[in-house]
Amino acid sequence: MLLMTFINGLTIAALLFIMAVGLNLSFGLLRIVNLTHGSFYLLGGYIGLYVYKATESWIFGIVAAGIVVAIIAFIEEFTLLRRVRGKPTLETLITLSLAIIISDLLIVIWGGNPKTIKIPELLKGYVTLFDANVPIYNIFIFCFACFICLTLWLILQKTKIGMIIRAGVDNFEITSTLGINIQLVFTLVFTAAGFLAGIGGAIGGTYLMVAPGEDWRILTYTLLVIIIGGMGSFGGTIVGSIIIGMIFSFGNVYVPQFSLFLMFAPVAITLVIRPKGLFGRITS
Amino acid sequence: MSESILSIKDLNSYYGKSHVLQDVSININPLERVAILGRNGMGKSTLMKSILGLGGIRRDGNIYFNDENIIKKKTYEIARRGIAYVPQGRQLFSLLSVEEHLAIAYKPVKGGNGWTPKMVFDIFPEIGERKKISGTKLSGGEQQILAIGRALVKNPSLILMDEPSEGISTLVLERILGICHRLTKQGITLFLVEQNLGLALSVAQKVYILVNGRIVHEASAEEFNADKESQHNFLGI
Repeated sequence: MLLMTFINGLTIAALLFIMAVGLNLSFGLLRIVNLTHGSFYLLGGYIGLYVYKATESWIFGIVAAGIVVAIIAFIEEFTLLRRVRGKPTLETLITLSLAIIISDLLIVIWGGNPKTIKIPELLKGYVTLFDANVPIYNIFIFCFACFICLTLWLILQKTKIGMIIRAGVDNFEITSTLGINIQLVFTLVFTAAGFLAGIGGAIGGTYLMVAPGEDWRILTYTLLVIIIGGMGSFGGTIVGSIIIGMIFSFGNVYVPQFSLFLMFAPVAITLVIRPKGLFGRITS
Repeated sequence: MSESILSIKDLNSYYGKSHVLQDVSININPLERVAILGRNGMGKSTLMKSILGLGGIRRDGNIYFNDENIIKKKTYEIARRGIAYVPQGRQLFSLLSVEEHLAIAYKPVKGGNGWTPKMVFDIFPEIGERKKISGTKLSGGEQQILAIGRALVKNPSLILMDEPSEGISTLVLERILGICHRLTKQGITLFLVEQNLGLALSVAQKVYILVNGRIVHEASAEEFNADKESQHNFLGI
């Protein structure tokens, strides 16, 4: 029981990491909390489901979810957010409006009943680990998140574009004085965050469910991860995801009546003791 | 064709409703070293930022760089035309190591005559020995050296330097002075904002005095050095 709860916690943590890392990176660079991110997740779930059914390929579903959401994220940044850069109230209102519009459109298109994406044959079944039967799909989500984590870390630490993103997170104006088109980097990171949210939605929809309301639930958990881990921090996103994933899993099993309290209490404590989050660098 | 590398004509800059720079006109010729002097809060740093389009400053007027009007250009476009910036307070990147500060800015020159990160490390071994640590972990003087190095490896034709003497020792100051003099020989023009009159006059060939956002005086550095009355009137010395 304990081991299985721990494994479920790791799986939720992995899913939250896929969602939160893109949101946190785009927050670090653009200084906006993209409230559309949860809708991107749910949209990814529906797109994944639709393409999976149409093509009978789960992989196609995942890739299509990522690409479609990335395109919508690109359009949002390029046509809307770029025009109000540096005006936080307008930026927040735009992302909130778009989130509501997408949520409503998804209900219009796919209805209000919860749906699930079937686990592909290859990832069905269990592996026995000590005394626990661990679903292969849980292991897949964890490994996929590790792959995303490693890839992003290598990009951020070992490439020129990673260097530019880190510099931009620190001070985008001075980065521009080096001749770097930071606006282009903003768009790139925002689009990549959308891609990850879309993929996260299709993978998460296979693990959990695809239903109205999931967008706001995932957005809330993702924001909790960022607040605890620290805004603009890659390492903080890993730690924050694990903390929230574990609290979610253990809370739901052992004290379900307090599970929400347990998730929000560390956030409140973190904000009081360390407003920047455990590894955060940005306060505004 | 004008002779100037940088020609500012009737520049007005605003922070919100505050009219900070008023009808500022300045000419800088290629390979000149020019300083802007003035007391605190007179608009010196705003002038630097206005040239680069930084800080959300609203501007009108004209700024010509190599005869091209850059007032409506974006910061990165201006920088790509060959202007480098050493900001007040260094403004290094805490997430970048010392060597990454130079790598991100480095723009090789055809023929290989320009500044390279290796040259910066050779001249300033104290930062060369600490390549892997975060730029913001260096001492104040070393940070200033790194900020200047970051501008040099861009191999610009004009460097805007804002208060390079702020918070650093005399020893480091002398080395920065040496670098400033060397720039001319390497084909780089220098536009300096400085409160340290001694440093400004030993570096610059020409000075402009900025009072309440207006250019009120222009002289050669030599003339201004001898003109104690103007120093007293404009700078309170």
